[in-house]
Amino acid sequence: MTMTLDKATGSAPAAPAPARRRHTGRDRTHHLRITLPLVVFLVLTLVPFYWMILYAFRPRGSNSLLPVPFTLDNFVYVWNTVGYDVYFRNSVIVALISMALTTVVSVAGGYAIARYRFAGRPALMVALLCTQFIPGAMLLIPLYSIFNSLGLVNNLWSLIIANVVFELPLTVILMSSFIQKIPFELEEAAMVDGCSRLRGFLAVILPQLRPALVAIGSFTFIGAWNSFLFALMFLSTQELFTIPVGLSYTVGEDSINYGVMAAGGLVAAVPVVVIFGFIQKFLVQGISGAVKG
Amino acid sequence: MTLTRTGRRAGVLGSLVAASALLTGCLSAGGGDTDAEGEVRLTYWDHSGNADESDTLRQILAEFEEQHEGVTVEFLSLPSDSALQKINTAISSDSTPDVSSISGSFLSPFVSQGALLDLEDYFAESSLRDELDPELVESVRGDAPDGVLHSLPFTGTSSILWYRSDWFAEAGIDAIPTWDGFFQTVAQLTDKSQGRYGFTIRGGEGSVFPLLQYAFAYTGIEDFFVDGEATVDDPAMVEAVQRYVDLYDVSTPTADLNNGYAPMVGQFDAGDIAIVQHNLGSLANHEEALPGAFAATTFPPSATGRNVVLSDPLQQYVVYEGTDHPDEAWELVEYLLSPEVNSRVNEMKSQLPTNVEARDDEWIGSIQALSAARDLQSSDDLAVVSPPLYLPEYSSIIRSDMEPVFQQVLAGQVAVADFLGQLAEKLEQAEAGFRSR
Amino acid sequence: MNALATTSARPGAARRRRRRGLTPWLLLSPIVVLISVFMAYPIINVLYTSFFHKNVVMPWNDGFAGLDNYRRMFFDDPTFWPSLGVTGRWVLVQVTCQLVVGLVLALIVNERFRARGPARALVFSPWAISGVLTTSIWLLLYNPSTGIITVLEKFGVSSVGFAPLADVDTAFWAAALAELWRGIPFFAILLLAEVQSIPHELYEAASVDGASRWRRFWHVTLPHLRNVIILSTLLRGVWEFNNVDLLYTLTNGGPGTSTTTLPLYVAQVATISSDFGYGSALTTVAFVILLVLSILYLRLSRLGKD
Repeated sequence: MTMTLDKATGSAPAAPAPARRRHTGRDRTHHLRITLPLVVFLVLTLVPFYWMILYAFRPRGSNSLLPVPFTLDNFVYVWNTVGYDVYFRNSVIVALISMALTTVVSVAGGYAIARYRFAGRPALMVALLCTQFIPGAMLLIPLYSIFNSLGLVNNLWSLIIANVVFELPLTVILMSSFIQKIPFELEEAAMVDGCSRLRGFLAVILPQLRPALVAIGSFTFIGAWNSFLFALMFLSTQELFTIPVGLSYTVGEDSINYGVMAAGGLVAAVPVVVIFGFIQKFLVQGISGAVKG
Repeated sequence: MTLTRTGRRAGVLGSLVAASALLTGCLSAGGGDTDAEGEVRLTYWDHSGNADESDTLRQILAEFEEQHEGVTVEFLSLPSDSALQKINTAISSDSTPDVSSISGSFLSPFVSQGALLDLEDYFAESSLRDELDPELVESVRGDAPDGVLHSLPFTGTSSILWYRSDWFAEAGIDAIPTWDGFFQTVAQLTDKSQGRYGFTIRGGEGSVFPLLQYAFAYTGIEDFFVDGEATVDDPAMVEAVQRYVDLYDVSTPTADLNNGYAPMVGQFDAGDIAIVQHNLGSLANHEEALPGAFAATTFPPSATGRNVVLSDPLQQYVVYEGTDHPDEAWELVEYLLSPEVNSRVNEMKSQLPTNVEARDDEWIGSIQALSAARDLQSSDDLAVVSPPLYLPEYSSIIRSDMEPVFQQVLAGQVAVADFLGQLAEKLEQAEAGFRSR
Repeated sequence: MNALATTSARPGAARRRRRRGLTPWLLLSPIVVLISVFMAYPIINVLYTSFFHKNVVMPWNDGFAGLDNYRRMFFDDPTFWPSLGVTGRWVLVQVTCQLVVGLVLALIVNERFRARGPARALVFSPWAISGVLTTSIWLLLYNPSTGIITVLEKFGVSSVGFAPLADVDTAFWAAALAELWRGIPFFAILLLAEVQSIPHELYEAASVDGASRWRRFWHVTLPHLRNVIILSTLLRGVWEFNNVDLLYTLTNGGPGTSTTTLPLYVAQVATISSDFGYGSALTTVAFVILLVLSILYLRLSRLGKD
């Protein structure tokens, strides 16, 4: 675990075969091998983003390739008139609750799987893995009926539950392999000191799990933020729309008002891209930690 | 020890449940009902989801509330492409509004599900009986599969050709007197090197109905079914549609294949297109984008010399069976259809009012397109064909079944005759099923 | 990803685990409840409904259908078989390209260079973008009047008015490119994590032997990544099979049915036609196909063996 944390600071020799830049020949191959393809990747990744930003900030009718002159009209329209203020609030609610529930439930479940031996454990693991083959889109119809009979259609809870259910299996598996890597001796020592198991867990395990919690939490936040088909099916009224649903209607109805479409897209993109920027390193480490078991 | 542990767990769970209960309040959109003081709360859904129109509608509803002490109306706007599905959803989960606007093609599926209130008695006793255009009322009655009045039309529209009057003047063309003239003009005004196209075809969402409107107007066929056989695959129809399809990518932009109404109208407003076929509803867009440079004309007369119009589905108000306040809901419908309000709603949509008393309002006369449409509707030389909206499968045939095939026609993968043959077969099957019930 | 394979691999720790009967199940109860109610039951429900006529628009027609829905699917539905073909092509193109390009990207950003951190964050960022958002971005790019094509036209690279999404021959590839844009980072992140965990000594040993860069990749890197590649391609394959968001909003299956995948078709049947009986039959078939192919893939790839 500590090893993984060290890596996160970037000080470890991560590159297996670092090119030492001593000779100009080496320099050239370095550029050819790394700089050139990297620039190509960067351009291909960023041009679509730039295009959206350009249209979002450029006044209607301008053909400049720079967002100059600059306008916020599209954002004002999207936020106040189209209703992105409401969509945004709904998305935040859904993503936060989905994240919190998924994390709490996966920590509990992951701990049980990692620390206990019980009848049915292997079967449970197989079942969790099998859920990965279940297409969410294809359960739309029965899920709709279930939520309908629970009175949760056109209610954000239906969306939250669906998000949690479809994120859970993977997060539980990841969480259990994280917990497994924490030496049991640490907990034992705490219990010898007179702590209850729960206290031992809170005092010893939880702090160690911080990178895992960041990885899993942000993973589910982004997943819930982006969740579209369930939201489209379960939510009927504009007051409850989340950003992806609102965006899909913007695409459908304002598809000629490019600035509005781009501004809506930017509102949808900024939170996840910012979060991603912060956690990207953790994500790589988090997956790596889980994968290595 | 064990006790403490479970106790704490219960505490965590308990607070989660409590939090849920708190949140449920703000996480669901509550349907209107009577609250403690006996106040009546109605819910009204608009099916055509449009941010600008919503403001006007909210204003109108607020005035209704002022005039009706103790009644409040909650307004929701549904996005137009999924309004049908959303209301279907609400019907199957018993969460319908009290009143909503619908498009003509929703009527039959809703009536089939028993979701709409019978309005016959209310209407018979209302002053609306003498005010609404009787032909339109009769046509919505006929569109319901049970032949009972479940809805009242609030907007009449008709399909027309919008054209660039400035381009026409430049080229010395003054009108589109015949269909041959139409095709000639389209060819003449196309100049791809300048990004100018004579016409634009709706190839995406909602493509089939306007195509049929053109085909009926061109051929002059005056019935949709003859002895249970659909007329849409008549050789004359095949020829008409072929001529239309041949324009694609020659005199129209390639991107047409994906265009629904918004991008189609958008192209015209962007100044790339000489003629576009659409209804009156896009007037405001043209006013804004091309002031003084556009005009409208009704379709030229058909091959038989008569004007044939395949009527547009009417927008209508309905009251849902699930309402707890049918009387107040009816009052709302009555209010929305009163001459003054009906006039305002239609002025906002730039469509023709259904309340005859609103038809002579000044604003209509000042809009050339509308008065042209109004004049055509009162002409003697007009045959109106009604699409079989009473078939519950009608929308899904016209939309989900046939739209992809029409794209294949435009892309040259399916022959026009096969496309119309398939369409006819599906319609005939549905018609036969309807007759046998 | 091979967490599963290794969870029971620590007998020492396992022996010390407590054997209290109920505690683990108590901890797992939320998971068990959620998954049985919202996954297991719906699957059984889909299977059951597939033998019924159920269409909210035509309630008088509802009732037991026997195999009618399946007969209609296999013999009478002009969309079903083509949609299977499109699905296969979509999954194959996505998984192959995402894996190959993702691996290249992972190896590049694993090297040392200036501003590596920000560069990584930037090239990985489409990972976090939703299908719908990808649609709105790429619609702008592909639109003949707003897109990148307007710039290309000026340089004479593209013909005027070219609309990639409106052409039956190009729409599939245009949609595929948009999906690759956000799919490649997925593999790159996953593989980078794994590449970083390759013990340095392995490379050093190979360097001493004078192995070329290519040989080191082939004999050290790739074998080390084997299990992760097998599992991630499988998961990604399933995910791309089921991916509806992007196609639903970008092309809605068109032009014609050239981008209609089976799950997209299910979504259309469910949302536009409200034909739940037939939609359930389609779902059942898709589920069976997915399960059989996944098992076959795991068998053939001999996961965990050498």
